[in-house]
Amino acid sequence: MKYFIQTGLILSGLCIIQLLASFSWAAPNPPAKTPTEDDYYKIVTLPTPEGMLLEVGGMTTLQDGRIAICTRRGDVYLVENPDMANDAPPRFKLFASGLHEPLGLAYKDNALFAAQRGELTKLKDTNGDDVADVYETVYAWPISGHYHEYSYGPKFAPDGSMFVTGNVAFGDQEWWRGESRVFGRGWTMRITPDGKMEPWATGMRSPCGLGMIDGELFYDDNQGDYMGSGAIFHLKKGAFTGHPAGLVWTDKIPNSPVKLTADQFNAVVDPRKVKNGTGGYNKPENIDNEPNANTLFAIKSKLPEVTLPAVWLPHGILGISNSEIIPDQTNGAFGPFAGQVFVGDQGQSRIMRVVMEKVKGEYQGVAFDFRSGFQSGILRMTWGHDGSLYVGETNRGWGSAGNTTSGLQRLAWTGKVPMEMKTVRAMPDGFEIEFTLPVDKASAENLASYGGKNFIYKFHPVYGSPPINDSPLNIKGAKVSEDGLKVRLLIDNIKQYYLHEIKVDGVKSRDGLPVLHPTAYYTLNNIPDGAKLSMSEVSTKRAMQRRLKTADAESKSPQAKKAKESRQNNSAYLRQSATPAGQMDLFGLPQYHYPAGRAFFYRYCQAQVQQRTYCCFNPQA
Amino acid sequence: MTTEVLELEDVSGARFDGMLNVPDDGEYLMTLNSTGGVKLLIDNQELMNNERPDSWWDSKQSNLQLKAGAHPFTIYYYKDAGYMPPRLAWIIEGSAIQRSTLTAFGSYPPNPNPSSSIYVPVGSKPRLLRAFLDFNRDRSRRLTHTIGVGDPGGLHYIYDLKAGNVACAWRGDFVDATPMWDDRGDGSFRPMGVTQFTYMGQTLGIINSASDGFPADYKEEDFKTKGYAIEEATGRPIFRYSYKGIEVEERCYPSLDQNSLVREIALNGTIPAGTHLKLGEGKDIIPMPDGSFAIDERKYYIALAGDAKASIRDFNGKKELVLPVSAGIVKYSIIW
Repeated sequence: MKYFIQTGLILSGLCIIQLLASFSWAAPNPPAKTPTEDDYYKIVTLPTPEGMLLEVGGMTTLQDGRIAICTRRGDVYLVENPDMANDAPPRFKLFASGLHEPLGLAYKDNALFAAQRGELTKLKDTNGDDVADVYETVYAWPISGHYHEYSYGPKFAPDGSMFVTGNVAFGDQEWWRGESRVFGRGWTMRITPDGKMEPWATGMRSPCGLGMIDGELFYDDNQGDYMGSGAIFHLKKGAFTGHPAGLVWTDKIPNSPVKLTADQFNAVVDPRKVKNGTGGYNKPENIDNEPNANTLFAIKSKLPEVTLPAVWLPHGILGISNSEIIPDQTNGAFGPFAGQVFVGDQGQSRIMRVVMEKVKGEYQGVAFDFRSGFQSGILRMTWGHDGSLYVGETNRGWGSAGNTTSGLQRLAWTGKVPMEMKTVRAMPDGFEIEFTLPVDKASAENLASYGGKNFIYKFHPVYGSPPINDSPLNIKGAKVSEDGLKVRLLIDNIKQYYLHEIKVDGVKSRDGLPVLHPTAYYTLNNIPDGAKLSMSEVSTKRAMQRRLKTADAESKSPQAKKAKESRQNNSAYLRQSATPAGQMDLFGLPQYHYPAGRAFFYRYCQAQVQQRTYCCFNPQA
Repeated sequence: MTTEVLELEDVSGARFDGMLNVPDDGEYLMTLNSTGGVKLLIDNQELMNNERPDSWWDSKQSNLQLKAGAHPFTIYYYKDAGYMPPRLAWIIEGSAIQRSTLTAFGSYPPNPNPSSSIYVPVGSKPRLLRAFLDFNRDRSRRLTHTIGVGDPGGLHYIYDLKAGNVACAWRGDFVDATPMWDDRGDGSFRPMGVTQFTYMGQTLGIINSASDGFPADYKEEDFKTKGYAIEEATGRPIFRYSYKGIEVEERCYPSLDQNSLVREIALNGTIPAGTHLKLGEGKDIIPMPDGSFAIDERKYYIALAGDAKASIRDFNGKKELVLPVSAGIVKYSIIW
């Protein structure tokens, strides 16, 4: 705290100098150098022993502070001194080996639990030498042997039972279509410590990220067939989250909590199985300017078992292949976001921040960008006893913005509080934004400081969806709280079920800091009841600001230049992808509408990806 | 003939027409390696068709009967994946021609970044590794819950945890895990040696009549794999499972002379009438003078320890070597 106060004083000092130096409209001026993520959260790379390949699939923290890691190669290591106290390197101990591509690790009662491809395994060290000598199968599930049939977990529920999830396989000819060839694929299973399995929920496609938040199970999926974009879902028993592969089992297993059958689903949502004339099917592609496109919420009105995402993570912006969901349980040791949720992303090597609230009995909430720049794809995260976030990484054949194949890093708070939107709450007539630091009133009362739009994704058997039905937010007024920490935005076109992109580019802290991540994405499944603001209560001022000096400086920095070049490369790439496929018709070959599909993916999905990654082929991902 | 004519155009196609001069009547192995889709017509007949304009690096092979003489051919090549260059190789091989590539070098230049193989070595202790196993290298008979056990002495085997069975054994190096660990992988490994496969399905069964078979498919309600413990002295696994109330523990180890793999199966609990072990399966099973049995055209031999008497029975057009068992330990060797 002491450190923070001192820093604050230094920053204010800088601001005064800035004020004298320039005469911009905004009252306070930012410091000479616009802060970056790195000023607040540092990435520290753990040195690993030579020759050790840590393609991290699972990660957890032991009672004694050691970090346990399992790898794609099937090894489980215990990492002692992970925070490198006294500058000593961490020590790695091989605890177990030979597991089948485990993608999860949990610790309970002096044992580790890992989901291998085909089973949940308990690893026990019975003689205290830190080497597992019992590999006990808690429960084995069937698997067909398709490469994509990964299994994730477990996560412990408060009652001691465990949740695991299963990826779908893909078709042989219909290689784009998720399939559940055996029970468990596309499902969430609840497994008791004594090996009883209960089917819990279905609709999963690539459920890589599981999270226990306040004793409730959440999971995330990412863009794919029937998945317009990545999203976080609250998984109550009997939930159906949208991918129909797992529905083939609901009338075949005795205790399915989901009653909807594949036939009932397909009667409502056309699977678009169009024959290609040679015994197979054509790959369904996005229909441009499709009239009355389906959405998941519209389907829910016909199929009530559908569970809507609690929070959408817009594809290409907040991740392309979401992974671990982890609530901040550090009580402030990790900064000002205690109780909030962090979500990893493999393809963008990024961590997002999510805050949920219950409105009309259901979870919904907001997602922000938080930290990027990790060396590989983020799969797993766990809290260290030092209050920092340990990040386990791999990109295992999918590619990621961080271009090493594996990584073990630590994200540590520097003690400085970033100027961020701490959270966004739904209001009957708009949103309330809470900031981490008091705002400069003039900038926050100026409606030109704000922008945004609302939009939704299609629900169809096509891989991913462009955002549709987007319209700019009509921001009618802003009300700044006495303490300067909250701003209520009056918006006259909020829309139930839609994502609301809320931009606060013009808002400054009292010290002149811009908001570090000035865009929020709120999923408004329900609009709360309550008192609305009257126009007399809000500021309706709208004044254009002059560009700030630091913004210019930033755009000339090498990183900004590089990012700009990369964006340009991407758009060049898009143009190339969009070349029409006219010649193909001459050959009388089957019609694939792939090029158009590909182009829109990149156009809509990849705009924010600084390094070209193959997001469309990112089913693990 | 080369895809270089397409340069790096993303959505593109080309048609190649020409004459193929076949020196002799006979069978020819055609290989088409490509990114994107490719269709081959000879004498106006479609002979190969890989309809994947988006494919990464596909390889399709076909054995074709061709007559000597000149044959007009057409190849359609098309691709819509912008992240890959156009690549096509046409390779022909037959009794009269050595393997020769009909496309230009630049049409399918060597991969500048080939994958390194990932072999799994065995150190001073047994190495255990789980993966999928394609039984008899047949992808359609993929075993999904198998574990390879590499012994420092060089005699290795793969155990099917969902059947309580030794699926195969071999001598030499342990396994090649490249198929599982390179790139996305497909979850499988391959034994690195001349591999003796046994049979699929359970070793343990309850057989009360000639029509009762050993379970071929896993039934969750009957068979429960419990995993394995590591024996402290040897580092070898002790497999555990239960089947219809029978509690089983199994140890496998090489014989002292490294000639065979010994299976030591301990049965506990209530053993129902008709409980049998299947020791071997094949087209034929021949009793040998020394008391052992030659299995499946003498591919391998089974030798029982002690006085136990196994018998040969016919089941589903095959011979099975079966042994009635009760509580206690059964030991036998797989010799090959």
